[in-house]
Amino acid sequence: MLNKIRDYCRDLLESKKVEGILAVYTENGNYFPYFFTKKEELNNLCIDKKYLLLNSVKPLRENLVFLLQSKMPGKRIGILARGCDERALFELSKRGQVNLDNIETIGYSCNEEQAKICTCPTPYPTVNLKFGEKVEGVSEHKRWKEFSQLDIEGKRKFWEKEFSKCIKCFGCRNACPICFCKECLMEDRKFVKGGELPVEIPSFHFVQRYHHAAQCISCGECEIACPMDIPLRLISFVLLNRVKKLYDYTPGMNPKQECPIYTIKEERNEEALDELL
Amino acid sequence: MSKSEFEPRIVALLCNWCTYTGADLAGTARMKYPPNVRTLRVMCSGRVDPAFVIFALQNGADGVMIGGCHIGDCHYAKGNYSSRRRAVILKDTLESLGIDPRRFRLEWISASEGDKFAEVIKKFTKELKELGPNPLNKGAQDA
Amino acid sequence: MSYYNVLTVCPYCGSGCTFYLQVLQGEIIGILPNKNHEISQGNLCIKGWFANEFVTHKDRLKKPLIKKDGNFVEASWDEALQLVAKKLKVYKPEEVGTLSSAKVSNEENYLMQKFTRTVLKTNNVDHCARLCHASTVVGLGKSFGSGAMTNSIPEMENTKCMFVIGSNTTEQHPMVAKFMMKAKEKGAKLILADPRKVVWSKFADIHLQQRPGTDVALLNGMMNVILEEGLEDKKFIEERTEDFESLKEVVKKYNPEYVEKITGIDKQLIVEAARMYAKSEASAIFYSMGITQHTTGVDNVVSCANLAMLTGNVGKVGTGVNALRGQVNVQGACDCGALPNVFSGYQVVTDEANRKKFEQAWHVDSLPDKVGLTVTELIGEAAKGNIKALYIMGENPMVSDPDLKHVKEGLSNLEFLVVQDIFLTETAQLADVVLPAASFAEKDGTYTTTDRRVQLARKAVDPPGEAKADWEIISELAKRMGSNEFNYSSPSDIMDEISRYTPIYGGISYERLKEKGLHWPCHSKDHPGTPILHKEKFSRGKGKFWAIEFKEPAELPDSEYPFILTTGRVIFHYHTGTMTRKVEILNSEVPTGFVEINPKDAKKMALFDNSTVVVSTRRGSIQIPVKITERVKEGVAFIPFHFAECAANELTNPVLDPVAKIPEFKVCACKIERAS
Repeated sequence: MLNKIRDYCRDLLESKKVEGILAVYTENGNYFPYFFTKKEELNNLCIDKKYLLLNSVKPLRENLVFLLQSKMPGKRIGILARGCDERALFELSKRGQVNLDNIETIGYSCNEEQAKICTCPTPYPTVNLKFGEKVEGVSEHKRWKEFSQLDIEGKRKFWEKEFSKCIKCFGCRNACPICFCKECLMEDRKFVKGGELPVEIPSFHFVQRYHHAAQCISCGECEIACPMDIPLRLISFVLLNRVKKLYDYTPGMNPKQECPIYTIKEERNEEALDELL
Repeated sequence: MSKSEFEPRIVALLCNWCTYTGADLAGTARMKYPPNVRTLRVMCSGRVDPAFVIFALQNGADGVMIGGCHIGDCHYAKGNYSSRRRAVILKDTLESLGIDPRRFRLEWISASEGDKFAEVIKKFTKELKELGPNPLNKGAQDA
Repeated sequence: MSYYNVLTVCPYCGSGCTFYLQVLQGEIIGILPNKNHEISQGNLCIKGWFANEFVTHKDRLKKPLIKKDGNFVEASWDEALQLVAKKLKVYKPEEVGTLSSAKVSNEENYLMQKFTRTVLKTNNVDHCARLCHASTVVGLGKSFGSGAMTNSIPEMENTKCMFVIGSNTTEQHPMVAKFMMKAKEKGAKLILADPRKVVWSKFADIHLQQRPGTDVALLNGMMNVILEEGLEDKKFIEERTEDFESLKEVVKKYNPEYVEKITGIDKQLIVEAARMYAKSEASAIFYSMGITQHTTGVDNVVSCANLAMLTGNVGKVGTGVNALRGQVNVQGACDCGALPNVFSGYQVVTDEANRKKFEQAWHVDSLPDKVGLTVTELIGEAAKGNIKALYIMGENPMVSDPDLKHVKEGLSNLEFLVVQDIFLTETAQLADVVLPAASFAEKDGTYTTTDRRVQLARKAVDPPGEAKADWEIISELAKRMGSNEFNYSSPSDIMDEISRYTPIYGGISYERLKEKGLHWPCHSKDHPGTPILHKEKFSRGKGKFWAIEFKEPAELPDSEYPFILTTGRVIFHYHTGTMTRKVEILNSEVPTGFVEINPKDAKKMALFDNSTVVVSTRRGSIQIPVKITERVKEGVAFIPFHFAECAANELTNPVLDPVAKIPEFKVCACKIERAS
């Protein structure tokens, strides 16, 4: 697959269809995101190591792709996208953070191993899959069994222990492609006290989980970035399932479908929801 | 503190146009309802960030209620639609975090429904008494 | 259009995380944690995540500054260096000194000591290791023969028992704490000895809240229990150590009752802790400033070593005596000889053979044979007028050293002071010449982590304005002072020279470091590095037990100064705040200093949270807001030392450990009054 992708990218660059291609570069065993503009460099392109390309650059709080686009307005950018990259792209475009028109998405699927590392339910781009086969994703968090057996009080104690480990590195937020707010509630001093460890439980972690209830693209970056292995996505899984069931919506699947929590298009008949309150 | 002595504290975030006026009506009509509620006026139930609810629960409230106009009556057309969609998800979030979702309520009470306001507060207070003190509240928490 | 990432080393603590600097069109825009690194594993702490913010800060020094009539005037490099060269030549060797830095690379530290020894012809070179782990270098040197962390960080995931004493690891070395937390999740035990209730205490199986400064008594007490119950590792003691009898003799009287009286810890807890530590398969000791920054610093370190040897917990995976070093390159600065008594690789200057070797290497007739002055002594001698000129690179003694009034006296008394830094620090403001340096992101270099891992940091962007890398400045200055020995084209050249003359760095080169770091000792090109020290035998042959008696700290509370003051750090800031206080998010977390006091003490004085108090000691006083918290015991006050406007070091006691010359930052007597 790698060679096919390299050939395809070479064609894109040679034919000047794109200004450059954002992908992962490898050298001396290390790897990092890179903007390929010369075809000779494509020998260093790698697909087996993951860095989210749609990363939200902190402390600027702008998306990398947005920054690239704003540096060369009107030019076309290629992105060698995994499933999560594509989903991030769609979610960001809905919120005006990137311009989809100037992006050439070259989608490829992850293997099962990678899907396991990220606990990814859809390890392939749903719209722009060009290389590889769709493989089965992971639909359950690795600690779900343990967690789901707890009662309400047990869950509270579970989180109290897990959140006490938090060292407030903001890694879960910094690594998240969807977190681009200029003013973040996690830093709001009225809401979360500054300079205190352990952090306030549960408001510090609640903010991001709740805000991403219908935005989380399941890339798994927040858990990878957490030095203390806090299983944050246990909550996300519950909420995403709920959103899917109630509003038939999964973030990142369709760039045209609006987020049901923030955009109310028509006054639909939703009396059934009252039952749940 | 035994449960019979426990007096829950309720924070009610009420919409300016309907529920707040409804609560006002309950007062001027001298309807009886438990004194456990502290009301806060917001312009619309849609303005309430779920973070407010957590903030209240973390800082001493035993229960939080959002009051808004009936569906279709929102002064900002769609505010209470958003509020409702969010509230459903919020309940799930609370549950996942180990906070009893019954500590949070969303109610539709119009300006003329003073009696409904009193009724809801009565019911909510009774329910919270059964649930006992909020474990997130550091003061109430047993070691 | 260009976007790429440059792999570099985090400039803060000694854990040794690496990260990528994201560079878009030649500008650093952000940071990506390195997912392909044993320690980072894609994680960073809050300081690391925002480490690029100070690099591009508007206050960076961009041109050399010369003080004329009390004001700084911008100057050209030519003018500034000419002036420094001219001035430094005037003084006799014993009248000048240099302070190297734990914030710059190994190469630059090596050059600084080479400059001091060959051009200034004195051994008066030291750096801030004196203020943090001088006791470790001496103490572990005495016991094991090598003054460095014995094991590596990632292996701590597999330890069975952790004894953390005098280290607030979660806040000070977050990425080390990560591995300890992983071990905890796997069922390892955690014993914590800390006067404060830190974040850790919630997870500790046993929390020993000793009175500050009584660590020797506590450690002796634990050893007493171990010997009393026959839990010692007799085979290990027999085969690998010496002088066990003398230790046994002294420890006898430290029975739990006696120790309880000294330390204020329940005797039952001491017994339990001793059993827990001794009975586990692999026990590791972790310590940091809480052990070293005492007048009994060396005694404390040696006692830790005694405890480890007594139970045979040295030289195996997940064991050892693990000194967690504070600064990114404090280990490397020591390794590269920025100390007054050793050349690079701890080759002592008083040994004639060593001097001969370096005389030949550096092509000089003779090298000074007298041990030079330490940081604390240099400043004392400056105050007396015996030291007349100082050249300070990347250090800020005006916040970091004890008793700041005295430090200011010393520095102001100098005839000539050169400061080389990236910002106009409190120290730089006193200088006659300020030289603008490049930050970590603007130069190549190697840094050595606390677990002796040498790692390569790469240049991402050019320095701002006319700022230059430290190695360029030192080389340039040496040339202007007449030396021909500073012709380097890159830091890689300097590393080649270091490895040629430093056995422990013998096999290290930039080529090998490209892929990943190497643990020293690494003697030759094909040596794989040494993650665990003292495996088959100790560096000094046999491990040596030293019998240590407990001594009280130099200053104890009395009726006039009733509180014990202890100092430390918080996770959101770093040392003197030169870098972290330029970062928005860190400032918003903790905008200024505070003094932590117990609610009971606060009640007695009728204080509220955030009310301002005056904290004073025999040396000075500061105004500072109060934070009322259970974290400290009654009668103890805690102040973080990062903040120049309410600097804890106005208060601290500059008494020194007799051998390591480390000041007693951790204990002094103070009083607290309401501000009028």
